[in-house]
Amino acid sequence: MTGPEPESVPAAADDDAVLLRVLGALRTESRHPAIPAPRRASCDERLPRRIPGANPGSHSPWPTQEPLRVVRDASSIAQTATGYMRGWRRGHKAALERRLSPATTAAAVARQPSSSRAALRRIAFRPGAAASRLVGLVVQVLPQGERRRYHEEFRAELSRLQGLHQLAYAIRLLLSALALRHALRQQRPGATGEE
Amino acid sequence: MTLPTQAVLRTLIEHPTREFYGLEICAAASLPSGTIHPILARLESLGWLESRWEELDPRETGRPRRRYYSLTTDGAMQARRALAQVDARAAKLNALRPRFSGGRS
Repeated sequence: MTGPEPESVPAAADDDAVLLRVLGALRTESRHPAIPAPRRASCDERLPRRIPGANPGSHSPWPTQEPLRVVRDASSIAQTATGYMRGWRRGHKAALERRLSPATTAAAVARQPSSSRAALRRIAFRPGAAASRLVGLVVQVLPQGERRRYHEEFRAELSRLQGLHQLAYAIRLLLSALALRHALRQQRPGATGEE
Repeated sequence: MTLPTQAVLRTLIEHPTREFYGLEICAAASLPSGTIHPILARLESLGWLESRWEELDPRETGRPRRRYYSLTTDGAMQARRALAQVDARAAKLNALRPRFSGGRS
């Protein structure tokens, strides 16, 4: 009952031999003048087999240098990275503050074309800054010897107020600035608030 | 004497030993903030008020020092006398008002 043995599957070596024969025939045909011969056939010589972890060549870039050992020490990483991370945190915080601060937004508003509406918007957005400027203006109206005292006094009272109350306070100061100047000029000579 | 000046003096006389800074006087006298500094300066020049700086370091507290005002002894007497005159004058005017308006005195 034994029939003929089925034809065995050709091995990989046989495949290579067939392939080499085909390529040889093609190379022979390529000697025809119309077909230029290839300069180099990749199958003339077998390339060395690449083995992971083993360099097949004898030309190692650093033949005498041993590979560095990777050390992951948390303390040494912290020593070298602490300054970098601190700087990064500072920069990140500054960027966030700059992005979120009203001053930046006010500066963006200030870059807009000047108009009375934009000025009113700036004042409404930062009444404290506008009030401080008005207080500075009021102080300039006062006699020279009293400016320092009243500037500090006004700023102290301004710091107790919030928002538009600061602006209202500064406007009332401005309205009464000439009366205050007149009252201060009537003071006895040499009596100033400086200490 | 203006009404705001009277209000300031009455506030200070009610608490003769207490020291006020500007906003406190405004709140106690029901006056708008920022309007009393000419009055305080005038009363200080008359010697009725004295003022001093708040004792703190602005760099530590993060805010400027306040200026505290209080009546002087002489100022308190003068203020009481002036307010009494004002009240007497107002009482006389109130007494005269019914006659002007045709009522009985």
